[in-house]
Amino acid sequence: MRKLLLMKNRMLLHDPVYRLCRQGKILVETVILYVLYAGIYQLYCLDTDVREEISGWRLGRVYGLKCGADGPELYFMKTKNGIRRISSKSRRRPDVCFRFKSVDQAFQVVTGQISVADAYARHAFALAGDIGHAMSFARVVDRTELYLFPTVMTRRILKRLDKRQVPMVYVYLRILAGMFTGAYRTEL
Amino acid sequence: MFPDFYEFQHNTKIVSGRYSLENLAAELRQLGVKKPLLLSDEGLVAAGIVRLVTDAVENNGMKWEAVYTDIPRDSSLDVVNKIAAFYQEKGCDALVAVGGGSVIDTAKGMKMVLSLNVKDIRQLAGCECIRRGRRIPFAAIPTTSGTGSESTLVAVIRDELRRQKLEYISYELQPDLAVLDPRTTITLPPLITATTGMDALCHAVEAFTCMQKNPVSDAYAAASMNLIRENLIKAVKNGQDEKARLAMANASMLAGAAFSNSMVGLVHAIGHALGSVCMVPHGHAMTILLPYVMMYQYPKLHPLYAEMLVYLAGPDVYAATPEEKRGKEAIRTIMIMKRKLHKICYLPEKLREVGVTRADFEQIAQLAVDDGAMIVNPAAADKQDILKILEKAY
Repeated sequence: MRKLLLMKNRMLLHDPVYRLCRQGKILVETVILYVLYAGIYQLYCLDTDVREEISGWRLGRVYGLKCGADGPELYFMKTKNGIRRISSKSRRRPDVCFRFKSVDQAFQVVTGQISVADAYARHAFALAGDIGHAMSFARVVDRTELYLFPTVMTRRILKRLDKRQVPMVYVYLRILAGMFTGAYRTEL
Repeated sequence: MFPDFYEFQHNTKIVSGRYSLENLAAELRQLGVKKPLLLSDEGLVAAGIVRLVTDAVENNGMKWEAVYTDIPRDSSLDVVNKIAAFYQEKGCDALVAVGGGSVIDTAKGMKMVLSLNVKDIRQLAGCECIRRGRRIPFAAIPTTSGTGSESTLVAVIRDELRRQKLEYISYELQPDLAVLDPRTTITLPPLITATTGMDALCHAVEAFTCMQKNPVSDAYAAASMNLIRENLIKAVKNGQDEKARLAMANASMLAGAAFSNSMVGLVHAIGHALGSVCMVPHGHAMTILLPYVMMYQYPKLHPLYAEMLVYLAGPDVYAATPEEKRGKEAIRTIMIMKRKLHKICYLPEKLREVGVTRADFEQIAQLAVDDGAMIVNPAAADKQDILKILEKAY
């Protein structure tokens, strides 16, 4: 029986469909992390709550999000004018880092299936750094999700459905414009 | 409501009962200990509790390698590092913490320093980011029945340099052994018994309602509420009642294990802030806030409150209360318990009785929203909501 299980596990690892799905998840996560960063970057200018929250962060503080051992990562730093994405190879150690335990757990959060709070409740990530600072970041992510996801999704994942200060479409247009102007380039 | 996903861990061996302290030497030997270090504070030396523990161990064939009783009320990184150096200097091989939350948290901090051989435990702050290091046997003997530190995976240690409290949450912090002997709490005055008991109740209530709740944590929380219902008033009225004392020690331990695995919420978030801004004792803050926060969360949590009524008020009251009124009755039961404790030992009921002023509200609310406990609180609560709760509790 044990042999059979081992064989099944081995087959799963080598199963092309499973591997393809996993690669797909990593790709989706990479895209969503990019959009999430872009969303936060833009909302710093468009949403007073996000602006107030980020303004409270100490200059130079680095936040990180890592989706499993081999998944994508997002690191950004508080600057004078908002936030700036930095490379994972940067020598700066993140002050606060959410490390998802697996690509699959991270996938559920970034695709809006569960909230950051749900992920915490499910022990989906380890959190390194000051928990108070992490709370502020979690609020910014929640607020950003309000603009990035349709109401039908946010109603399910957010504890409270606040009113958007600008239309969702406008945020997406700003995100697109930022892509063309190179606003989200990564710095070392 | 069965969770889609949950984790639960409670590694601590419980030794509970009169003369359980006399078993400590044997338990330590089982853990392979030869040179234990006892940690405590001067207050417990004066109360004779430290002597009780040292004698119980020495009379059963084990010698203390060292005894350190200079732990302050609020432990800090400096204290942790200093005692860790003392531990190494003396060549000890285990930690035995005798005390309340501060002593046990200091021991947890030392365990981190010693087992992982790190110089700066600031790097380990956070949630679930402490890996297993060298094995350091660790026994906890609680001398209050409230914090539940003897079974929790949480440690709070002050960073004096940066003037902040660092929070560590890790399964690696749970003690290997908790000894619950009624003799260690029998000298507690009624007010401390009441306030720590209400803290334990608050742990159980929040553990039963937080987002991380699961069937196992529910069982622990429910058992804790049952014990508190039956024994808190008895222990406050008659401190010499060993049965009630032991039951309360167990209630506190159970609630600690419950909230370690399901976390606490809004009551603790505001309570921590009250402690930081106005130095309100933690138990007092919990006592005052609990019913008001329950009222705030009632629209979201009334089915769970209704379920809790059987543990808070007993099966007779539960059966006699119509289903739709059970949630409100649970809150009323806690209010009545608060009032009774106020009459017996002047346990504060309102924030104005503990030195809080309205001018402090803004700062308290800001600190509360940044508290880690907020993330698993089931209902949304922003600064404005917290200000309203504070006003009601004032």
